[in-house]
Amino acid sequence: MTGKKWCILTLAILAALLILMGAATALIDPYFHYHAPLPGLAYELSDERQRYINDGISKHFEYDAMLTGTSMMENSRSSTFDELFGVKSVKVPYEGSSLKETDQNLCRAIEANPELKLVFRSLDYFLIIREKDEQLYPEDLYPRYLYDNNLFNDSSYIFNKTVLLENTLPTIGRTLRGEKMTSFDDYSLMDKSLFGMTAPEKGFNPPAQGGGGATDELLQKVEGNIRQNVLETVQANPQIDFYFVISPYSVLYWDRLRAEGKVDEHLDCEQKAAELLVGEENVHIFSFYDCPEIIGALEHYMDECHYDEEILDMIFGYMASEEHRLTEENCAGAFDRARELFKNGDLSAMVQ
Amino acid sequence: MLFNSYIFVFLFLPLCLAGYFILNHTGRPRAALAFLFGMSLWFYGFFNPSYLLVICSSIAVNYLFYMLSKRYKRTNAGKWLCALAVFINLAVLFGFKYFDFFISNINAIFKTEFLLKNILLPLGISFFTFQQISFVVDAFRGDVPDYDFISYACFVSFFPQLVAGPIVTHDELVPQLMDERNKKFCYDNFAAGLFIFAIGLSKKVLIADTLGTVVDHCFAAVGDYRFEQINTASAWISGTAFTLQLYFDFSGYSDMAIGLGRMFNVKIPQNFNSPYKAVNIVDFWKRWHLTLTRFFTKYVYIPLGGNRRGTGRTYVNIMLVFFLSGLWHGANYTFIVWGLLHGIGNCLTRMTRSFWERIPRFFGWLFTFLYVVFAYVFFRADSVKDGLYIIAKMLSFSPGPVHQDVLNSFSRPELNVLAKMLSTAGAEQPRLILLCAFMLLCLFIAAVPKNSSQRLEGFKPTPARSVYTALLLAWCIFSFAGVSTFLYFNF
Repeated sequence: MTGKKWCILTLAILAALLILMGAATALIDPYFHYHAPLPGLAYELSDERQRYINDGISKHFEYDAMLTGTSMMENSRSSTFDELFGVKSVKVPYEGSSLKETDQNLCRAIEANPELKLVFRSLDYFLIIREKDEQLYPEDLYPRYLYDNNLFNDSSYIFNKTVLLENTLPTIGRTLRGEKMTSFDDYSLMDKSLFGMTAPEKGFNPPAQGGGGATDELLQKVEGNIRQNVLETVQANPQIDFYFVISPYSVLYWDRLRAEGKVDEHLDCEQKAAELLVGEENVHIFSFYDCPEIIGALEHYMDECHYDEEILDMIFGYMASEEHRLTEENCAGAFDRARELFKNGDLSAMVQ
Repeated sequence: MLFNSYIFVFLFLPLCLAGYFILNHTGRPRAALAFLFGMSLWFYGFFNPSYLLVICSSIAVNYLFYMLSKRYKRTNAGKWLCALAVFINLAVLFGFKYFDFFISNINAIFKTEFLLKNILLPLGISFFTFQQISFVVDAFRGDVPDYDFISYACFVSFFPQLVAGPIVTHDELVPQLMDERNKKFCYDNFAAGLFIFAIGLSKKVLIADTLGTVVDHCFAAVGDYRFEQINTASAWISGTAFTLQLYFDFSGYSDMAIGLGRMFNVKIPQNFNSPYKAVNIVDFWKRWHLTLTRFFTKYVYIPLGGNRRGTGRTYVNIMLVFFLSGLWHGANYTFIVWGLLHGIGNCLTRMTRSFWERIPRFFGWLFTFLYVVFAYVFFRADSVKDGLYIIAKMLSFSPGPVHQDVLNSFSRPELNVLAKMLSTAGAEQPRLILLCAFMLLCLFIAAVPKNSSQRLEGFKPTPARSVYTALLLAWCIFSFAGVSTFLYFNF
């Protein structure tokens, strides 16, 4: 064989292999980068691929409501939300995301979907106190090539054996086995066996007044973070109703904070965040600190903070009926009551 | 830019080949060289354009000394100018690579608090600095013919060997770039080049990077004080895996450089000659990083007298060369320890030459490989202390299985599929089986069959090789990108 024929044959085989394997991923598109799910295919929505599939879900699925936030909303059920609010929602959680990351993703979704009219978003204390531009994971982990419209960098998606072996081909396999596409209810749903906290054996800590409130520096950080990564988007989109929930950590969390003397610091920060948002017409912000059926339902908690789908169903129910909504008139009072409860109240009485 | 990247394979290489040979074909060889120089600069400055200032300044200054050498070669003034040129090159290398190491030591010894500069190290600076030192020394010795600036610039910046060697000498590269016969695209050379490039790429992407998963995990565990993960089994796995990883990574890059050079009708010298077939340490260094050994032999060992000034002086010279070799690899005591260990091994082998000639080859090979493994533990460790910890674990024979986290770190999509198949078939420890099998396979590839250079010599364009090359390239290209794991730590 001549060198010329060898080169042509080799490059032809290489091109054929690249086209064949690349086309499989491009056509099936397990990350929905190019199109919505093809009818009949059993796509898997996996929590390990959140940052790979959420952008595609936001851009190519049909929906008019979005459930987004951190792990605190991973157990939310789209079906419950849809029934209560009369919408068609998608769930796009980002485990461990900063407010900035969630906001950036939300903005891309809003730009791609003018039908969006309702957004549910969890506001978590541990994230509102971060620097406004902070990114919790190293930049090189993010698949930015999936977030832009640059076709040239899609080679990282199309010519990617991990995508091919762990997503593209398994989608075909799942389909052939008669499985269905993962529902949004099941997407990122935490393992039920992990839930079931109990009250501390030694009992709850006694009332404590120690510790101070949030420093000015911390409050400024919170304000900067909320303004840039929450309020701006709210104000830029008056056509969208934003439903925020201040994530209701369990009594176990508050018991620990009481012992550490940090109740005031925590609630000062959350109150600051709430006050920045509560005056906006398209904001519905909710707090459930006076709900023992939520924060005291320890069997529905995985740890001090994370709750299951039944808690979230309850939260959605209250939201739909506008109960426990914070307003400009009641906001300060709600936080004052929370301070009193968590510093001096009988936390054991809240346990269900 | 990396060889193992989409932009290199799909854009840079086709564009560079096309531009270079079209310009040559249309009777513009100087434009072709200028184009090659420009493309090499794009390759080098891709990740950080500030690197271009370093390399361009280095090329300009060294060419200036070359111009001076035309007038002052083989004179006393020339000796001083040569010394100045070498000093400037080493000073630049020192500034970028060793300054913080030097300051840290000053602070440690004299209890001072000088600030570290955290200088960004330009890629490949060790390689192109040594390349140019060899050039200016040869120039002042009168061993360099007339080279115009663009030929010299292409020699230094030629992208196949710019970032990770081999350290090519001017007389190996420039005449080939200037040779009229090499200015026409040659299918036979392209075929051979593509074949070896594919082998090199697969060594790096499919083998070295796979071994790197478990190596990185184990050495990080020591650094993070997760000592429960490192028992004797894990220590041996990490040491041996790194020994294999380094070979496949480094020789893979050299193969890619040789393959790419061949595509441009340029023969780049061999850098590895099956080092893990060596039967003693002296033999090892006749097979490992040949061009660096050549540099130190010609410009350090021989000027110091080599082996012509008595046995004692010979051993001193050897130790000095290996000390410098260790230091060249990195600014850390771990590299110096590694270098000195090899220096000691080299000297002891020479002292006991008759013993090595008598023992069965297998035992010579086994001892050499184990010695190399132990020395490489220091090469990879973040500190001498970490290195000693791993060595101690290797020699402690503490019982216990390989920690599950170590096994889980050995992860690639293909391996995950195989692990699942083994598990379905009833295997109890599929990842351990895969890890051991993979390492044995790597050791076999390194120690038994022909190496890449031997395969290149015997290369014939056959249909089987065509399919093999295409399959390798396709799988490597699909391995350029993966999917990140966002380890969740509660918000």
